[in-house]
Amino acid sequence: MGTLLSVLLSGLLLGGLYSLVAIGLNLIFGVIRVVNFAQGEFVMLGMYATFVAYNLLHIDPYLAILLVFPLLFVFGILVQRFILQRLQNEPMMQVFATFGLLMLLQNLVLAVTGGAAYSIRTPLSSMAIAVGPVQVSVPRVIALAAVTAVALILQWGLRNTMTGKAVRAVAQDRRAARLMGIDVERTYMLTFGVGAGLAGMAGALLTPIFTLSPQIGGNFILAAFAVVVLGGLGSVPGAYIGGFLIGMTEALAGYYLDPSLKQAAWFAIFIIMLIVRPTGLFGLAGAEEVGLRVQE
Amino acid sequence: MMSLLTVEGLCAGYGELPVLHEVSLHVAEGEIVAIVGANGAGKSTLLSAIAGLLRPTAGRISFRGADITGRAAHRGPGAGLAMVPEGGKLFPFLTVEDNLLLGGYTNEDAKARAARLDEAMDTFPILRERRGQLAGKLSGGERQMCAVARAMMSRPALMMLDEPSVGLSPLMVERIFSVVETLVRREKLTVLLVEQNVGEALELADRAYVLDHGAIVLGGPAAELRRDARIRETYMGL
Repeated sequence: MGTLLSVLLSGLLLGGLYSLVAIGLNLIFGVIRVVNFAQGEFVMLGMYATFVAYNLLHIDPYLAILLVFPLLFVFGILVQRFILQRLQNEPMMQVFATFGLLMLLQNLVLAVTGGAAYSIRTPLSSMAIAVGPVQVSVPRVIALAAVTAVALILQWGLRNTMTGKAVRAVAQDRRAARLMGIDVERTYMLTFGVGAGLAGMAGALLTPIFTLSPQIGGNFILAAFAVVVLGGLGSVPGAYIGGFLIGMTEALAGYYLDPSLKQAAWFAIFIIMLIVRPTGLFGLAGAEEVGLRVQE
Repeated sequence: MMSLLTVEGLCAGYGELPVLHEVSLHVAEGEIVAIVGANGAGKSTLLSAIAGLLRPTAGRISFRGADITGRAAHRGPGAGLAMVPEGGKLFPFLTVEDNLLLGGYTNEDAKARAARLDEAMDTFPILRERRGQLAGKLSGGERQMCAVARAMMSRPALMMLDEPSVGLSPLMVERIFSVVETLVRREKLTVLLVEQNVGEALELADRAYVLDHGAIVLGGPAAELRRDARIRETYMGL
């Protein structure tokens, strides 16, 4: 019993990390209809920025969110404005451009760091709390709490603020949105900025947990894609809950089947899902066409 | 009467394909002007160009005395120009209420927007009943009413309607048109509508233009055009 609890808990916490990366990815996809392959590299940039803030400015990784989010937000706006917007009428080219950005950012960081492995040790990072017989790592619990807060705030903002309604309007019909007086290009910049900012925030939250490397984004982005497909394209709650499903699957498969099969298990689910229910658990039919969805 | 909208020598098209050839027209304050013509005559292209959804290749559009040629579409509602696109183009996964609120997006004041929402739902009581429903679940007539109400949210001086009668029963067309007439009287609204349903459009309009293959071939008071033998034969099947 203790074992199962331990496996489920670790799956839940891992799922929190996946949700964290997936929410920004899904927001960008849902509104701008661009699959941002570089989202994992935005997370990586967030981790390095947190690392730099910690070492040079002695800022705690969690406090660094206040710095890293705006940094990546601005970076995202620039990417949208000067790369993706120029390719507005060529969706395939936009996807290739984000893939190019992935390669560029990875190699740039590799060149700067020389591939050295960095990590941060704060008093919190090695702390654990006991849940019954199981020890859980505090940074993972913090990440879980943070992603829950982000999902709730994002969902609330999209439903209840005028800006949120405008973002959803743009996602559903950009021509009609223009006729409402909504500046579609600005909405795209805002959305991509928030998506990138969330990736940066994810980076800050992951820094106390993982050793930094230029390729670390790849560890999360594959899972994040599976989360997005499982949870539903363009759905915020879908990305949130999908993260836990993938995390649980990985933990259960890793323990009960074989550790080397843990990722194969969710890839299998990913492929089956694409065939059986391409709209995901929380998506409605046609979501891949219509984009961002907020359950009413 | 002052001219609210003036279009001079307008040319526009899609890519290499020209659709409009030197179209000129004007709409005076308080008028209902119809542009009628067959499917593919360029009616929707004309409205798109005026709304700023499509950049003209030549010509000039002025609205309330200002040159708005090629101005971005999102600057229209704030300046008093609203458009109801063909089929309404509601946001299907937003509620009726949110659709209406977005019509008042350019109005910064939330209180004024809420008051306007109330007015819109007084004009169209069915929308009050449906306010919490997703717009995609509305019937064709309700959808068109919601689209008109949404366009009215920004208190426009000129409302452009693109084929408001498409897909609606004759009874529903009459209802929509009678509401448009009410709005013109009550809100000092000016209307430019594009219609394939020539008979109904000429009933509603004060003046009309006939668009054929991207050029204006005829224009005048609607009552006169209704009696014009060529129009009766070509467009009304009489």
